[in-house]
Amino acid sequence: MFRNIKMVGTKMIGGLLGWTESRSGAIGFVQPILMHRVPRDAKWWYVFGSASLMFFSIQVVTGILLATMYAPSAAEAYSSLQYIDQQVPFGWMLRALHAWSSNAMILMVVIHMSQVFLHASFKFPRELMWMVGVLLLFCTLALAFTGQIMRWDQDAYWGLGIGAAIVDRVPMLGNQMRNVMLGGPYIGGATLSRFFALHVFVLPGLTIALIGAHMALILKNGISEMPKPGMVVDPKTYVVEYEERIKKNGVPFMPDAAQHDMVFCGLMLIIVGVLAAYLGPVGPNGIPNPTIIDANPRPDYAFLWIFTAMALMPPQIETAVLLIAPPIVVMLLLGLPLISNRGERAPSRRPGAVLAYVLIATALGTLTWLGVVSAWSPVMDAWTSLPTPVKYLVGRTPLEMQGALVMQHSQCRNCHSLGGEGGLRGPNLDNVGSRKSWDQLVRQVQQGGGNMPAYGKNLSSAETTAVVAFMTTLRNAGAPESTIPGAMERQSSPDQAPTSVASEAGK
Amino acid sequence: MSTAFKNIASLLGVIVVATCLQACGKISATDPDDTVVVSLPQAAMANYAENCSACHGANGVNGAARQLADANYLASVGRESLINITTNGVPGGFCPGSGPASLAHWNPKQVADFVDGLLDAWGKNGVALSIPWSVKLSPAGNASSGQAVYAAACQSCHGAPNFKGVTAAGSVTDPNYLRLITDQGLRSAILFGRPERGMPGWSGPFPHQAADRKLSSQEISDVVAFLRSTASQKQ
Amino acid sequence: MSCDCSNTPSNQPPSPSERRGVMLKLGIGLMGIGGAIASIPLIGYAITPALKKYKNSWIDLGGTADFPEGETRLGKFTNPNASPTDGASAEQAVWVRSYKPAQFQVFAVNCAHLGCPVKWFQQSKLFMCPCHGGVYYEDGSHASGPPPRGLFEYKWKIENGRLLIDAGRLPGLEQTV
Repeated sequence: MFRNIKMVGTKMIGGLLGWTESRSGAIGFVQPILMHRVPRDAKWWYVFGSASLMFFSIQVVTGILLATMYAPSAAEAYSSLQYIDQQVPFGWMLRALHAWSSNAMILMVVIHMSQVFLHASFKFPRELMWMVGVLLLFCTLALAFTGQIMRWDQDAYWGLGIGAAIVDRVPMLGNQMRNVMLGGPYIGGATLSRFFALHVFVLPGLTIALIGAHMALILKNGISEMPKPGMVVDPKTYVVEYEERIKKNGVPFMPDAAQHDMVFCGLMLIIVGVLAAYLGPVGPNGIPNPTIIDANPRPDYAFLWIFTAMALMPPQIETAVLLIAPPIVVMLLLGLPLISNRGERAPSRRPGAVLAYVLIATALGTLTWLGVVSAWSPVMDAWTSLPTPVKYLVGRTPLEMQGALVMQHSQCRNCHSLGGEGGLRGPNLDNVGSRKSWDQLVRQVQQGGGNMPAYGKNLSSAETTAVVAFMTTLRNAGAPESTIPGAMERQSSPDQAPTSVASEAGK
Repeated sequence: MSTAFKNIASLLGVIVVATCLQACGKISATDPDDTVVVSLPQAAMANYAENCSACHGANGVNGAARQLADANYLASVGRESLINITTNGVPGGFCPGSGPASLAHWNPKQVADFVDGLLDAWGKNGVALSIPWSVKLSPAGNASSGQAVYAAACQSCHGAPNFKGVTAAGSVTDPNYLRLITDQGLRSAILFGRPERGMPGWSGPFPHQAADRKLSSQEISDVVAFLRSTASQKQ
Repeated sequence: MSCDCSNTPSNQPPSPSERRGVMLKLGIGLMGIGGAIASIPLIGYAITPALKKYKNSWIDLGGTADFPEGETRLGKFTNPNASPTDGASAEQAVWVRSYKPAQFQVFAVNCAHLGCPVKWFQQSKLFMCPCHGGVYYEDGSHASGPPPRGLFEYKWKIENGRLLIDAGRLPGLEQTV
């Protein structure tokens, strides 16, 4: 009885499948893709591309869902995000997933690209795969940048301002290009609409098309093998040899290679999901009202290195670098497989490439880290929020105490730290009394220099005297007061006579 | 966070007072128990930390400027004047206040809430002084009478007028110091002292003096006038 | 590559391939012309902001008494070029410095480096930028940091006791304000 039902059932399913297949050819289409043979050693090194694709899929799904609630209008975007975060069930989680999975996607793309570069998988016959991959990298970054604009908060607004200022530096056409980018002569509703169209239509469409091309090229050229020293790529013989090796030693993608991808992707998915639930959505960080000038704009992680480069580059070469470097970088990246499409693939035989990679990775990593610290930025509220370390006030004279007040009041600590707190732009002042003499301190305060503004016009002689008196007391234990030979003994000059200050306090 | 902060701050307070006791030598600081740290209510605390703590110290003590966690000071000045100072700052002094041209742009309600927070946390059981704290309400000073008062009450720590050497508490006749402090600042310093630095307030006790000797309002005005005169004498 | 045409039935009319050649050319030509005509409005639409001349207008910042002498205060106005969907981003700010009776300097809040909002510090009489640390003196001149020039200045005039500025565009190096 049961057996009969089972048999009928199997028959029916089989019939249905057969009917579908005969009309669509779906299995016949998919099977060779899934079963295409890949090198036996394609294991953990090969999972990052798949992970990038998985995170992109998550972006598509979460993105579509977010678009059903998000209001892409400058007047409403901010409040619609707050609505999604606070009112919509799981809204916050969707936003968190979209944000953190985008970060994960960038990370996976970068690792994938690193692996391909270090293993020289871009060499013949996979030059086009690399080039499409480079375009996909730019798409990913463009999606990240435009996505940051979708938050439509202070970071988005001033981030656009930075972008506009960069585009504006293009000679002749700069202003027109900037207006095209912003959709008008200033940042407003038209700007958000433009970036929305890019973020949800143009860039995802382009990305999907490029991913398709990338995959088609995989099927056409096959997955590269793990590099072995001495196994040289020669365009004349490579294809035939590769085919032979794959025929002999290859394994079907499904399940031999795919299982590694699935394990890794599953792990990553869980990690990013937990991370998103734990860290929550990114932003929105403050109403994008340009009259709120207390903003402290920072780009997202992927762009911090650019932010740093802008701060550290000598101003004279800045415009030139901004306009010339990007095309060169693009050309170099795209042209890499044309420059070097044959020869050794093993990193051990390509010390120059490995060195270049290490240098670039270190540079990007360092620039990003510097961007997190952003030592060049003044700490805008340091002067009102960071107490003078108590140890620096003990046993000070009344004048020195007033000097401590002058130091706070004149915003010195926005750029100079004391006791580890304050700006990092200028040197810390903890031991300044043993580094500089009284006269040197007066000169530095009055005339500035070394990237410090001159305070001569803004501080009275009494204020200067007081703050210098305070600074000379800032010495490490045991360090002597700095003196310069022949320096005059400090004395108050007759022209510094005090004026009586009428008090109105507390009337 | 706030309890940890409190603990660290009170620990710091105790350490500083102890250090001060050692460093100041002959000046005796007030009882360390008096500097017990009290935290403001949360909203006022955030505003205080963001806008005031740089000068008045974390938790209202041990800053470069006046200690605000001082019940007698808050009681003497009173709510109305505190609101005025918070709004407009100290003219001629360093405090920028929270008014339109300054740092925080608080509205009047925020200012009032802030001052009430201060009074609530730090002003409990404060006793207002029996003599006026404000320069405007106090008698005009006489510099020559002030000289004698200075010699008796101040000189032992702050040194003779225009004395250039090292004194226990540092010179208060330094012309640059006098240019940076208002008459009100001087009067407040004499009235309320700098307890965390070991300087006694009006109620004393001053070193080398009878415990019950207190300056009169007139005497304080005289000292202030005298200090001002030391600077102009130099010309 | 030569075509192996041996399987082509010889008794079929010869027209298809010939006609196909003509038709193909015609098709390509028509598509090209049609596409070119259609793309004019498309491209024009997309790059409108580059073709359009955006004008500044005189904007009322408030009474001159709102900007007391010796102080630098934030002046706010609504962008004259604003569109209905701008929301808060239509609000604009400038720093107004009054250094003499009825004499003003009106600075853009945008740093001359990369456009971040500079903040005025009355006490040290400096403008500081939170992004890359550009610093300007009270008269807008460059004090330190990466900016290639001083703060951008707006044209201003006084009419009936009101301070007006000529504004509407985001300031930048190429076209200052």
